[in-house]
Amino acid sequence: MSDSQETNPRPFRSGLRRLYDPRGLGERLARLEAEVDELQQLNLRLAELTDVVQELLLPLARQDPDQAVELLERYREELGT
Amino acid sequence: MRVSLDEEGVVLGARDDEVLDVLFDGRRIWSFRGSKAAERVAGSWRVPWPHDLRGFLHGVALVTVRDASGGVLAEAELRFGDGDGRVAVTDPQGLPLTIDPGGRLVTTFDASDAEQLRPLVDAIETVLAKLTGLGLDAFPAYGTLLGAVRDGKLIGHDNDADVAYLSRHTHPVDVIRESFRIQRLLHRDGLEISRYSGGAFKVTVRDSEGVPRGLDVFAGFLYDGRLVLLGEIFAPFEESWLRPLGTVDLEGRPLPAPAEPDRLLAAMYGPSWRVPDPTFKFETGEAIRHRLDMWFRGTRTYRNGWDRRYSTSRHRGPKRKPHELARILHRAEPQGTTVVDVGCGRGQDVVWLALRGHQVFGLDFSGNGYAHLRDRAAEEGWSVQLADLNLLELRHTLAWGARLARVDGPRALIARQLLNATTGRGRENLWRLARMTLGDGGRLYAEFLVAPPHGPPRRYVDPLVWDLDPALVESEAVAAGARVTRAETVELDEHERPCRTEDGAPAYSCRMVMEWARE
Repeated sequence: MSDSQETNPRPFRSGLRRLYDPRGLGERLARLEAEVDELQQLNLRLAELTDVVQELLLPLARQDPDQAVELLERYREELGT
Repeated sequence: MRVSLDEEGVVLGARDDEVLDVLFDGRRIWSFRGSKAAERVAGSWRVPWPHDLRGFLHGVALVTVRDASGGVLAEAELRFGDGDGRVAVTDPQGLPLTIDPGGRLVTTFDASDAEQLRPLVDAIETVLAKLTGLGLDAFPAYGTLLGAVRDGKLIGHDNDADVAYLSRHTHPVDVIRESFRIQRLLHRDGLEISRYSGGAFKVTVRDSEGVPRGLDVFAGFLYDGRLVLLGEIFAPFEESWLRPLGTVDLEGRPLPAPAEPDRLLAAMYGPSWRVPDPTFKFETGEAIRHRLDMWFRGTRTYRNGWDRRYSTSRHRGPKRKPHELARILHRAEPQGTTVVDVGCGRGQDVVWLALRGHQVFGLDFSGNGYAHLRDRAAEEGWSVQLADLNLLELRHTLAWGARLARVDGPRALIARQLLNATTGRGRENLWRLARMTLGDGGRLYAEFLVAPPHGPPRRYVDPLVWDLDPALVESEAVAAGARVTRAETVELDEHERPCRTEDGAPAYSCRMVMEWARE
């Protein structure tokens, strides 16, 4: 079983598209572009996550909850606007 | 060239590419190129007064049009509207304003003398020294480098300063993390910072007249034989064109500079960078802009619009009447519940809820909205904490979620006209914040614009808000672990609506209450 739920409400257009672009390159290119966008957007998210983890890992490793809270407060204050 | 003037703007005999300056009573107010600004109206080439200038056009002014060599092409004493005084294009403090190439009013450097700009030049020196101290190759960039190389001075028609540094990293993730770290270190030196993207931020410096001046700090790195430099450059580049650094003079001070500044200036402004052009506007290629957007941006979407919307009322409070959603929350939640108003805007509900015994956090990414409350809240002893929260930054969301999760006692969130004014990333982070804050039980009270029952979506006068589909909101809330306990669609009166609809028809909101059970 597949989880694909693709439907084809416009068979005429789809037929034309197949005629001019038999290998579906247009669609494949659009899908690839979307996937590249998605991957490139991970850079910022990964950097943000790494930044938070790195700043907070040290007090956690030292098992110093007071310092963890203090660092968290300082981290938040230094985020700017 | 034949040029004439009237109350509607400048009329040109031909639509050529020459840069023309427009002066009001001898002061340059605006520059344009006929080839870009002129429109064909009734057989002539017209350049209308820029939109932002029109609000100032009341009274009389001697208007002059000059070419780049200073030659006067047209001059006329014009009367705008029915005022008798001289036209004053100034800010509320009386400081002269100029139209920038983007059509916005700014205070340019040519309105200030060297003494006034000294704090900005000091800040450029300080920030460059700090970056150098971190082992980075840092130098003035963009307009600041251009002015330094061309004349040893800040450019008169510029209005902010730019510095850049070349990172040793080559991957965007590491470059972004380094930029975060630099921001923290500059913050610890007492500098006021606002982030543009993962690779650029602004330091705000006040000149000696109190005019806020931006000092932009851009990350650069070498990537596959190219220089990537926020916010505009992605070009083939040799490392040796940048380092080892040389020097350049700016306002009489020696500063570090790229090894071959000409190369960088050509990448920034094209081969004609030596010719001054007050109309210059960056037109980054679509592919480059897209790549930089994907790598670094998306954390400031709609921010400038909200800052502008609130800028004229920064120090003026709104009506103290609360919104209905705040009343609903107050009626339903136990006395003493801590309330977090996410996207608190002008803060009416923050104050109203605080006066009814709640501890309230008012959070928004545009501090202009609640600026009027900052001093007042402390003076009055209200139990209110106002702060910046940018839901488009994961770091903000995680840090605030952790902070709010530590608040003792019952908690509730309120998000009025927020979901329908942010991106998918903003909504995703609101759900994350709600889950962190309310994970041990609590409710989120949301209100967002919707299409009228059985009607099409509306268009609003202010494009900062739009209709949202309640089914989408509910599905996102459920995916974030919530249960919708109440949802109703209501017609909004003038007080409740965020702005008018384009066709004057009534606006509608969905009020939705979501509950998180203890995890």
